[in-house]
Amino acid sequence: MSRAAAIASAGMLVAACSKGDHYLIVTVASRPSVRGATQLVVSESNAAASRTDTLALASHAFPVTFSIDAPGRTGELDLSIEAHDATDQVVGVGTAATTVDASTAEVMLESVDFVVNTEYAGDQYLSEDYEAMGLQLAVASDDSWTVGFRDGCPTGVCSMFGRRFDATGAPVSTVLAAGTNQFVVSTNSTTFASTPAVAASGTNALVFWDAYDMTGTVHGVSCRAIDALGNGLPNDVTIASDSPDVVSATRLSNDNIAVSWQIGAPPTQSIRTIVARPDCTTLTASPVTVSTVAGQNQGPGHSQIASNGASVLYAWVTDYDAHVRATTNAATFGMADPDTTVIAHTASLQVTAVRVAPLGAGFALAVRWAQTSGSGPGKIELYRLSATGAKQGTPTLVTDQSQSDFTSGNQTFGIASRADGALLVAWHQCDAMGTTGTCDVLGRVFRPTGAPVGDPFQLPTTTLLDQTGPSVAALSDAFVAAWTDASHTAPDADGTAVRARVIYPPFDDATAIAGAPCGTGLPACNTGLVCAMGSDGERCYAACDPTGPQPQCPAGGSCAAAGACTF
Amino acid sequence: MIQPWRLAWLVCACVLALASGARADRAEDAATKSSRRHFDRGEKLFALGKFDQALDEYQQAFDAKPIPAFLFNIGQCHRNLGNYAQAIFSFRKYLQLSPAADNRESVEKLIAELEDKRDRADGARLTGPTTGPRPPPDASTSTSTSTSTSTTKQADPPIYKRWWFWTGVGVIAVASGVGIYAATRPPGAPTTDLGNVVFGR
Repeated sequence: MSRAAAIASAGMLVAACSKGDHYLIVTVASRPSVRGATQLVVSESNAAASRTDTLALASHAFPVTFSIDAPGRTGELDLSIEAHDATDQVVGVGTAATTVDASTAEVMLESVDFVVNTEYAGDQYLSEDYEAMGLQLAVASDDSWTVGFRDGCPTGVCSMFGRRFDATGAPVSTVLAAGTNQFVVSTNSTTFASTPAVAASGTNALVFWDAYDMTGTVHGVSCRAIDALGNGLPNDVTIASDSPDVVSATRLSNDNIAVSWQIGAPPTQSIRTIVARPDCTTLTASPVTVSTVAGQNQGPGHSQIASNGASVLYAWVTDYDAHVRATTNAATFGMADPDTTVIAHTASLQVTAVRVAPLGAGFALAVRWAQTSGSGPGKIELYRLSATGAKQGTPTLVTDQSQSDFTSGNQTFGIASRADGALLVAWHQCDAMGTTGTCDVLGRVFRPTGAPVGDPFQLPTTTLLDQTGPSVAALSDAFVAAWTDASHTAPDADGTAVRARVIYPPFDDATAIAGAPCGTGLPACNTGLVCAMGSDGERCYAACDPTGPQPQCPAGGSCAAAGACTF
Repeated sequence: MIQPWRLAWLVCACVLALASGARADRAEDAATKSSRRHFDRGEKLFALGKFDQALDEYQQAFDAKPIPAFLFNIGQCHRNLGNYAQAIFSFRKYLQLSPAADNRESVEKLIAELEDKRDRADGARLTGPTTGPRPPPDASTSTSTSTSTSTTKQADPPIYKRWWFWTGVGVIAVASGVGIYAATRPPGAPTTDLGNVVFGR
């Protein structure tokens, strides 16, 4: 049957069966990061039957509408829609659960992940260093973002690489790449020990790394700045001659960059810092030592630095306790406040990783706990800290599905906060999401109060085999996440790849889920949640029994008389 | 600086996976996971030149899972620490347990060089007290060893990088009905951008 005949036949069938029938009108919208869609592939499922139709978008721009006529059918109707581009690659996905009798349905198409690296041979890693995961992504003032990564050093010689994208995930042309592909950041060869850290200053991206030459005699913290057009400084420069590990960087309010790293080994290991200008020159000739408490068995290590504009906070792990130190003196960068143990290990649980991000006037500190035995369930908690690093309120449970053994994901992770207060924590854990034997990257959003918004969700859309070591950064109205992908999926089927995705998790627009606004005129909260007044209005919170045994709110918050764990 | 034998873990993992028939990258029991953990740490410490700490991690990796390839890394740590006798012992044990090792020739050269250094050091001790520093880490064969490692990787890629391993991996989509057409608007259907689709019985 010809296509025209098929259409005509279908039309006659509709005409015959839909007389007086009901039509469901579906509106399909898309995120800005869904780019280049030319057709929708619509799958409908009802009563153990399914059907797939392909609809050409032609000249229509999102949002678009179509109707579904389901003669003789009743009950639930599941819709799954893919947006394909001209090469038939999937560029957007969305779902909706409705009923055949409904009059309207809405589907939001979310963008899918994509491969960052454009050289596909061998391995590419966002971070191969378990201590340095979560530090390889930064967003500039124009919402462009830069990813830093390293290849598998196929000849034993390593280079730092980068690639830049706009807010929608479209690759941006750079002078270094002479196009939109990945570019080499480092001008001096380094080793497997090196991992990049990225920070943004205005429209510049600065990449730092722990550099070691091939002879093992020359080392230091290297820096290279890349301007808005993608011009690199002529060469990478050494900003400190330490023997560094785990470099972290953050933008200060004056557009300088504070950089931290660790040196040595217990009991002489320490955290060091220096401030660099946007051109990689430093304010002082020598770095400052941040940590003052020596680790007897472990650390200080796993450090990250964050700035909230007024103050800078360093966080790290020493002897399985979380330590912080703050400074508000941007001129001399003197450490007025002491090195403080903010979270101490217990008899059964130890702190194995920390990550920090600005949150309002203070900071958010995410802590990864693991069993001291090195096996069994672990957890990640979110703490709120003041500008000076003092703990505030009770922690929120991010997940209790993380594991304690190293290869199941007990490694560092990513955190980022958005200007509107949305906070995203992203981590990898293995044997999660109903899978066995694979690692997945998950994320969870929080309000500035520490209240979670919804449950943990999977960040990648390419989920075959392992995804690990995520970094996240905040865009104006979204987040971007990147991770190391071992799915061996096209276009990079050789070794590991670096993938990224622009995501728009529910926040102020959340409906019925934890953290969503509720009350008069708003949708009811989902099962297991209670609408209650908290510190930022009426929201859906986890239910609790105020007369029950402690802890009444094991996932965080305080059990209010209304029977809700409010924040 | 000589890189540790980074392929050790991958090769071992593949052997384990093939033996069990499980997937190559994540077929790990508790001992294997522990071994991998210590190997990863050892690799990082070696790259940083922290050979004594790397040695401890590699030894713990070997304790958890006595995979012969770890002995090569243990030998490299000893060699860089100037522990010639221990390095020779580890390399010989490695060759004894891995008689078909791809880098056998390189390891035999390393052993010969280390024996020479050990003999000269012993001779120096017999002729008088040593007042100088401990012999420096040896880098004389770093290029050849790295090349050997690289050659090994090129000649014997891990199983998940072989083209045929992934040929059979795919996703089969099943649908009871599939239509590929531009939807049309039948009489009575509402006006929409993309037309109407019929999901009939």
